[in-house]
Amino acid sequence: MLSRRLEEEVWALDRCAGCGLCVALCAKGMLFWGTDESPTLEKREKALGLSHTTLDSCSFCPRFCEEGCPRLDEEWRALEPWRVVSVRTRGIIQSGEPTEVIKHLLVAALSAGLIDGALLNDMDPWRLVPVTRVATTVAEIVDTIGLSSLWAPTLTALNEAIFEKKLQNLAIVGTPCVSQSLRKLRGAQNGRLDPYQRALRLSIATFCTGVYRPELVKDLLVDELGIDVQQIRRLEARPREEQLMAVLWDGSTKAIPLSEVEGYTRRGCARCDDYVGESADLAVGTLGAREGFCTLIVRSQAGEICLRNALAFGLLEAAEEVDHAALRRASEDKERRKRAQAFDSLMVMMLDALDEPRKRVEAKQAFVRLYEVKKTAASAREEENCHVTCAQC
Amino acid sequence: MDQQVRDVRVPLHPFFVTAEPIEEEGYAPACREMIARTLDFCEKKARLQGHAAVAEALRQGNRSVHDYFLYGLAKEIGHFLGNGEAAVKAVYLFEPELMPGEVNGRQPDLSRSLDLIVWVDIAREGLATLVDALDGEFLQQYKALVGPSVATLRHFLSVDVASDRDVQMRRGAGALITSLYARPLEVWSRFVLRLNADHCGGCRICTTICPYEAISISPGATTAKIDLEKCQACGLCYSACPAGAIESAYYDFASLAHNVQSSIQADGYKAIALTCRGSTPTREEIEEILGVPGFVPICLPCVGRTPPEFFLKALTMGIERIAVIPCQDDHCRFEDGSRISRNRFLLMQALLQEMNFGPSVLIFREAEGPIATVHEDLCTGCGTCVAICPYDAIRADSKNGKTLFVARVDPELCQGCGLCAASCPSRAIEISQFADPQIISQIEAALATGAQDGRPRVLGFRCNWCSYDDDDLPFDPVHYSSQNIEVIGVPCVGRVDALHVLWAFLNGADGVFLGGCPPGDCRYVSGSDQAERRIARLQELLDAAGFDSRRLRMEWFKRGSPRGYSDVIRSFASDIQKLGTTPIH
Repeated sequence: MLSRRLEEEVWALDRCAGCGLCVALCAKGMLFWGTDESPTLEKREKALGLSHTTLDSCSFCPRFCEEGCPRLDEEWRALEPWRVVSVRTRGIIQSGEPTEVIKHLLVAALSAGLIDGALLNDMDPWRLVPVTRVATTVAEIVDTIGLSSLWAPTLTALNEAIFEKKLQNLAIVGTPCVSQSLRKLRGAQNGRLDPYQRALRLSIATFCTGVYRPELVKDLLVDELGIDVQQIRRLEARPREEQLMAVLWDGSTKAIPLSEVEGYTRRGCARCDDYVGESADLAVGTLGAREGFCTLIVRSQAGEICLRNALAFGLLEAAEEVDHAALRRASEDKERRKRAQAFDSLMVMMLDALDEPRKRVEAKQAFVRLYEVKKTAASAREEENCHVTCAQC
Repeated sequence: MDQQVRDVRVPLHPFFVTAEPIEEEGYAPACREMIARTLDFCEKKARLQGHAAVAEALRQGNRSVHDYFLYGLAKEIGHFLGNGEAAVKAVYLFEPELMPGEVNGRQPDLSRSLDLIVWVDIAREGLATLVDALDGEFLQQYKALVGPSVATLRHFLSVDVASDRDVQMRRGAGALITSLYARPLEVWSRFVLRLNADHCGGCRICTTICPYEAISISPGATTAKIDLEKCQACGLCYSACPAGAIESAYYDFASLAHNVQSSIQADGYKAIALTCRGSTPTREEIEEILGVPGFVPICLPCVGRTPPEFFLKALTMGIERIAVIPCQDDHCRFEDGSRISRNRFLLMQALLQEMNFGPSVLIFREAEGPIATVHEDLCTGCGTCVAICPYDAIRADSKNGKTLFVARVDPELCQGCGLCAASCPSRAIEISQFADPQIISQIEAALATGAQDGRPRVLGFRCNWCSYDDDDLPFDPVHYSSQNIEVIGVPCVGRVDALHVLWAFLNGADGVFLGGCPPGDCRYVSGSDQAERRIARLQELLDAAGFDSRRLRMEWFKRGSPRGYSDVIRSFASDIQKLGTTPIH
């Protein structure tokens, strides 16, 4: 089966970022979101008499899924920032919250005709699960919650925007991994992906250290705090206060410490080392900004035009002061996640080595290096304190 | 009943589909013996003289003799299956022919097969092979015995298997067990503990001591009853019973004394260290506690199961020092085991002092259980361990202005199962006594010690709680060597990382076997579930990588089934023998 690479090197190793691009790109529509944290490949069987044959749905497929996956053999080097500024919104709503800043950027861009629509994360108010909406009017943009703390497969809605709503200039708001997917999609050589490449105008990322599985709404809010789902108006992550805030319809709020929510982090987030949207045209987050502001990093010309446009509309105001040290620390923290990635590649390497004698030495060396098992087997046997329960003594 | 319909049997259970090739020889003598004993039984019941007379009656189609014969043989086969297979809990005779109304005036139907239902805890393939072999053997001998009237019979033995779950859900053969037509043959051979009612005085010590309320004395009764379904096989009742009415299948007084005796003769040690599966001090630590070099190690599922008289027996055998090293109270797998062994120790010490033994004869020391620690500079703050910990012992610490969370372990709550360490993406968690380097060097050492004669090598991981084999007493380190098997004990199969398994393969293991408690029975709540998911995924990956995933197998063992693990790993090793060595070997 041709989706083997995704299955083996991404899904089975819990590396999936959950961006949803493979589901959108799948030429035969065989991928879907099941109960798992990674997409499921539909299994079809053909019955001929008494025999059942599993159909290989990926035969003759050009494997678009692999061309967009951000977690497949990709060493992401950060795009050089054009500029880094502190911003907050102006006008009716005065706020330094990243979601508000993003909405203002989009509203300005839409009004100026730079974009004709945007993919935004929102909350389905009935089931309280995150969904992705295609917003094409100012009202639709303003109405969304722009939720970034709960996981939603943002790019699954890509086809709806490009092929159903026929949007030509699309802005996409998501986590840093979403912008990684878009960066990879833009650079893809396959001519068939041209409709996507042409429509992508702007990618905006929120700073992110991990998104949570949506079950937390049921587990923590409904079961533990005893809030009725119908009472919840929206959910907000407040990284500054380290809180997840539930705003109820009666105006009151309930806060959960983020450290309590941490157990609901998607498993794939453990392997991600991009916290500040290093592949996005525009990255927005609270890190490095003072109270009432948020940091905005411009990394491309499209981003620069969009920011200038919003400033010209008077919807944003910018200040130059940014705590660069905090941003630098965040990118230095990458090293820790590198180790998790190294263990993933070790697993793939060891599996390859089982079949391939030439790779064995390399795999063994990598194993010993990662586990810091320096001794040889013989000397280890003498030195290791032998346990009473072990079979050797 | 129509003969032809009965003969063309449709297998009821997937179990039959996976049956392996019939073994050629081996069961013929056993079958002959069983038939001989059955003929004895018929002789007595039908008041006939000699086997020949019984056979003659069978040949003539004597209905009552025939029924005696089938019933007697059913009992024999039941005992045979019950004693041979560790998984078998009970065997039932299924008699739809004896439906009311049909009994009277029914002609003897010699060509009916013998319908048995076997209740097992978990269905295994080995049983199918055994039944197939027995069926073929009996068919041959039965035809030879009864003659031409059964020449058309195709199957003599029809065995349906009901697993615990089938019985619980009343589905398939499980529903038959609870039906009217199943007659239990009462071969609960798989006893963990057995109560000898003749000796029981009804003192209720065992009912109060059992942490699982598995022993009870019903009102009006004078003797206790053990509920084997509730029993967790800790053996506390065995050591507490003043009348010796409870018999234990393993680690009982006799086998402990025998092992100590043979160990003294072999090595001449004068000290004993009694440790618990959960407390794993190193050899050096134990020698320090004892104050003498060299000792007889005895590792038990719970130290609390040692009968007090064992200490006295050991002293009479020439042992001079005994160290009792149980787990800490909150780490005890059997809830009260450590507390009981502490109380018993105090009692014994007082007794020994009265008998003029010095204070250093009996030494008591609680061992520190394994515990998890996080290397903070390696933690990536991903939250995987927070979600996985079954005891909520890990939480994400506040960021304090940093970019990422750091996981923190609460040592009060941590039980040291190691689920977090095996699932940590950056391997930033260390379990004391079961750290990655320790497990890895154990793997390497195990694969280096095995015979290097080109035979396939098998490495086993065994959950310390899953199976209480007699074999795993450390007195006999070579018990697996004939099949080149090495076994490593881990606190839970959930501790075994996929990378450990791959490392074993890369270092020349030809098969890796994991044994654990069935999900739901796991001492660490969700350890087996985690392991099941991880190993199933690894098997898929191995297949995809072009490596035969049959070389990796995981099996569940219900706690307390005697000879479970060693039996199954041996059959796994013979399967690996058929597969041969890997190219890496």
